[in-house]
Amino acid sequence: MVDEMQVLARMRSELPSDVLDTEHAERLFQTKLSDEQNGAGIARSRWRGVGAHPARRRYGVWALGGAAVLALALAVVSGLGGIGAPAASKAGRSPAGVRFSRALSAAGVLHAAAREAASISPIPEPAAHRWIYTSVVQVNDGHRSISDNWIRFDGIQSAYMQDGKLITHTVTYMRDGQPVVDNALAKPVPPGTNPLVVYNGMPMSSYVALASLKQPPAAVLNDVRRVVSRSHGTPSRPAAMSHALAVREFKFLAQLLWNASLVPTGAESDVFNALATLPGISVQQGQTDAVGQPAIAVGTTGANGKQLLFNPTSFRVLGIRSTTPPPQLCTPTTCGAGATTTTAGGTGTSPTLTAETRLNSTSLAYAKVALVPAPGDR
Amino acid sequence: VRSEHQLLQRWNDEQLRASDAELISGSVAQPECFATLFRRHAPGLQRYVVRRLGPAKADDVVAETFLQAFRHRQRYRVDEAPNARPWLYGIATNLISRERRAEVRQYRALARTGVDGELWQFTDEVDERVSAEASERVLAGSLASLPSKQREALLLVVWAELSYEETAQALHVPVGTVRSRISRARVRLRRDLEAAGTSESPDEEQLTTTDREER
Repeated sequence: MVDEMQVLARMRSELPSDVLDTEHAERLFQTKLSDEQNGAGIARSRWRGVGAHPARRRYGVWALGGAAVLALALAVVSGLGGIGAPAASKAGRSPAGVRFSRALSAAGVLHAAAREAASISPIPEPAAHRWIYTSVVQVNDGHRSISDNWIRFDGIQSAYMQDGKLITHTVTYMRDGQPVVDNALAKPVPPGTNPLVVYNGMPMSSYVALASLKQPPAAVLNDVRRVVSRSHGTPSRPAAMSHALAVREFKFLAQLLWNASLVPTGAESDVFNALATLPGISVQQGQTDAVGQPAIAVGTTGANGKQLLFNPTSFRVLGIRSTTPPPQLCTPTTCGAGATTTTAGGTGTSPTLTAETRLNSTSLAYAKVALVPAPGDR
Repeated sequence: VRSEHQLLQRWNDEQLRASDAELISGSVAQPECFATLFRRHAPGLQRYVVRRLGPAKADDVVAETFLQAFRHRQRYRVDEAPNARPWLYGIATNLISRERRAEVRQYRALARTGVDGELWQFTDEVDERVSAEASERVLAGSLASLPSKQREALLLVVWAELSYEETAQALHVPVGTVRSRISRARVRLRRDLEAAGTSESPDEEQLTTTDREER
């Protein structure tokens, strides 16, 4: 026995929980508000418009944000670990800014970043001979520098500016006493070979490796685990295994994303979703990226830590940051390939690291990425 | 550190206890008060918008609703309306009306196929929804053919669970107008259900709050 009001009340009443999550709407509200208050809305939409160069459009992700992104910072939670407070309104924020108090989790940030990455227009894979221009901002222990770099997609040639002159470098190997161009870099991965295993850090290799990742997060991590276990070995203590592997997987995938100047459709989103499932990944609010924009850092801290930096409002990825022990404390254990991430002062792998140890920090951000006709073009 | 934490805690507690009107008036001088209003009402509003437009557009409508509310918060009549729901749902209704065609298209698709494609396409539950009640399919067809003003009033009452008075505030019409719109909408729905042979007269015990209120 039903009546029309009961049937209507029941209609669409059982909704999946994910569509009821208001986190994205909340961020959208903050973004709209910041854009409106700073007149940045038009610039933002133009920047991501159809007419933009594909690589630039895609690499809004890593790019300097300009006024639009700076505007978003006005609504940022900073310094108080996500707890909203009246005192914060006196801290120089926009008088009309709305601050949301929320203790962010690493997984939450990464899922948000995955959603944001999924909304970015895909670009087709470029030909192997195409040149990629990158302007990279680097901050090393407080010293900021900007460098212009060019690299062919396959990595066979690269170029940089030195004293106003373009220096070009070609990857070669010696055969019969003569240097031979290493054309193997331009060849596709042989059938049956895992692209992650032969990944060499060049843009095309990174692109192919990312494209090879299977979609479910567990499958992504499964592929990566095989590679990092092979290259670093497996910790002997079972209790440490899970965390140590998670750290390696995070570092591997974060570096893979950075190395891939161009990213295949959906790969970035898949990687973030996979990273969100890793245990022991921490989040730090109130950070700044290489450019000086406000950022949330997600990753592993301490010696040999690696973090991805995200815009705290839009959750777009801004760059990457690494920490290493100072050179005088570097040992094969603390700085070598097999080093595990330890927290200074914690039960680390090296007795020389203490709470007072000042770690070297390097932060990187792409100011611009573009496909260009030739080295020297921007 | 402890005293600062206690201060923050007390501030948060006060925010949670404050009425909507207090939060809105407080947000004029202290904008972060609006965040509490968002947290309080966004989940319900999100649910309502998802039911009407599907998840794809819901985030944007909810965000835009609160943006417009924030923009006009100084004009909110604090003394007359301690509860902000009618105000917020009224704004959302205006925004939803811009998507009228998409909304009607969804209802028609549900009526025709029995699958709530727009709403459920990202889930694994499509197969279950194929066997959606015949009565729901009939009502989807009815909703598609209702005049928009009747549909708005009806869904604010049934899906947003606003009272007739709150619905009148949301739509800026007299409460009598809401009653007549809903009454006409119900006649249409009932007629369609009966024509499809999927409805029987309701027992007195099964009358909804809305029924009693209307009587």
